[in-house]
Amino acid sequence: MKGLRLIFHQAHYDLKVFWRNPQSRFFTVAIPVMFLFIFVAVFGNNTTRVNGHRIHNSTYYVPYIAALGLISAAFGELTISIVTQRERGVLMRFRSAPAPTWVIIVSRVLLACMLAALLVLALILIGWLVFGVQLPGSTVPGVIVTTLVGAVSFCCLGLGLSTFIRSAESAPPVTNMLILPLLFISGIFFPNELLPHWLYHVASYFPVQHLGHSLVTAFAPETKGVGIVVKDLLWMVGWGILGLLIALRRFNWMPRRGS
Amino acid sequence: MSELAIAVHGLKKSYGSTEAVQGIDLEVKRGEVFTFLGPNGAGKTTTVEILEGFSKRNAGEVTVLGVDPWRAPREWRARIGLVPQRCELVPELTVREALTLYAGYYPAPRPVAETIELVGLAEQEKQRTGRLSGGQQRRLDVAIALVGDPDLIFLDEPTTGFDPQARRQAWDVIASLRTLGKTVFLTTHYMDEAERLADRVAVIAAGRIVASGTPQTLAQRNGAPTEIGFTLPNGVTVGDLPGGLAANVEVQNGSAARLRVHQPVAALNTLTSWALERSFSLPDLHVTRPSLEDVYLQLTREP
Repeated sequence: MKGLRLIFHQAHYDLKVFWRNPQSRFFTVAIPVMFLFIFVAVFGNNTTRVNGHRIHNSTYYVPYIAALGLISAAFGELTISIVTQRERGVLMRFRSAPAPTWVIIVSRVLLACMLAALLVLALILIGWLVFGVQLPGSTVPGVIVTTLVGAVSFCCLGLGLSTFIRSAESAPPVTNMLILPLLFISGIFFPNELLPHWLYHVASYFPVQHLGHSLVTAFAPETKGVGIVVKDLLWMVGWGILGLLIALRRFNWMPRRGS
Repeated sequence: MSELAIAVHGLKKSYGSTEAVQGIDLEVKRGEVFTFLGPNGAGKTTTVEILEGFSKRNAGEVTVLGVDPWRAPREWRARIGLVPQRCELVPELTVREALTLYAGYYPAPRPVAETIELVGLAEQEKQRTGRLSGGQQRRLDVAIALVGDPDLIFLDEPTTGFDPQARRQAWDVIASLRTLGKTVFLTTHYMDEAERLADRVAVIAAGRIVASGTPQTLAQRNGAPTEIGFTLPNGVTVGDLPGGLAANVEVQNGSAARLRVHQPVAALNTLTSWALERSFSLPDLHVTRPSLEDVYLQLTREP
């Protein structure tokens, strides 16, 4: 199939570009790994209550930092790279070629999802090998489904957000400004039970908390069954659809600056 | 197939209340280098973006390679190449990788190595595009425009901001497009660039075409005068010159005279007869035909 061949052609080069960009490497790959080490080293021996069970903080931080990795790959990296390339005129230049334009977007989303999935896998393996955190058993489908649904949803949100950012310079600060507060109030850095109730309530309207909760449920050894939390997934999909609708309405290939 | 690569009639485009292009007509023949000359803000880029199918016109008929660019199918894109004015490449890829990436989009691309050779980047093949000099980046832009093996290439101010050496190199590349049989649509605000490269020139000012033709015919039209320059002999003033000439003479630095006339043969005869009678040697006597630059400045002068 020609479209599929083009997507792989494009994704191959997108991956090269990602890997050769030191900022992408650091913020998307190094930061989550570093945070996993720091948080488990500092708080690993305490316990936290999740879904009514007490679990070790090392078991808690593996899925939550995996959520951080997923968000920075699917949402942060995607938004920043799309805005930067749009403003540099790279997207417009791609569009001057006879390849269908959706190839470029699908390739970028595919790459972001693949990176997100690899990061989740890598963080789980580090948790297991370095900190002796138990690997999921019956809930493996839950980990896989949650990761994929989360990655696609956050990609769609990133596509939507990219249409509001006007310059390459403002892409990283705007993205971080939106995501950092949510990370803090959604259990990524410290457990939700430490939050005042109203703040926990505010966070429950945003997708980050639902990604963290569904991943920790799929990951915790006490969870019975396949570990899929349908309610959390629906929240993420809902936000993803919103992002996608915005992107479909507002997406532009041309640089915003100048005329 | 039509003789014409581009045909434009009554093209208009406005942004808000600004009329960027106010009804222009253009015809570009296959295989020629056509230059669109005009000052900044005259409507060159607006026109090019319409011809490339990136922006929509308000009125007029536009045909590029036989189709309306705004409704052109994807396959049409494979037949045009473009070097936009504001454009950066993916800085993380090497020259060869960037070209291979673009070549992959086209049904019948040119060989990558050959295209790199053509624009003279063989030595930089493995360099990241972000580390190329301005001139080298522009040549890579041209290579990317060429790699799909298009019939028609748009170059929007390809040498703006170049040092003289990089300009000469870019000109060589553009001249080589002609030998490949490509049609080239070039915009520029440099007269020497148009004079050097173009088969035909159209001059645009404030959204209208004010003149068109070959660089030579353009330079001769509009009654631009020929200039005869010489140094006034010692002790001679403008008033001493023979009748009829004095009125058209301008003197700079006391003795450098410039005579602007429409009948250069007659004026030269009068001037030299007068000088022979008085045994003046008229050092530095020279005749300059009107340049495209004179005509250009005259045509694009602000009203």
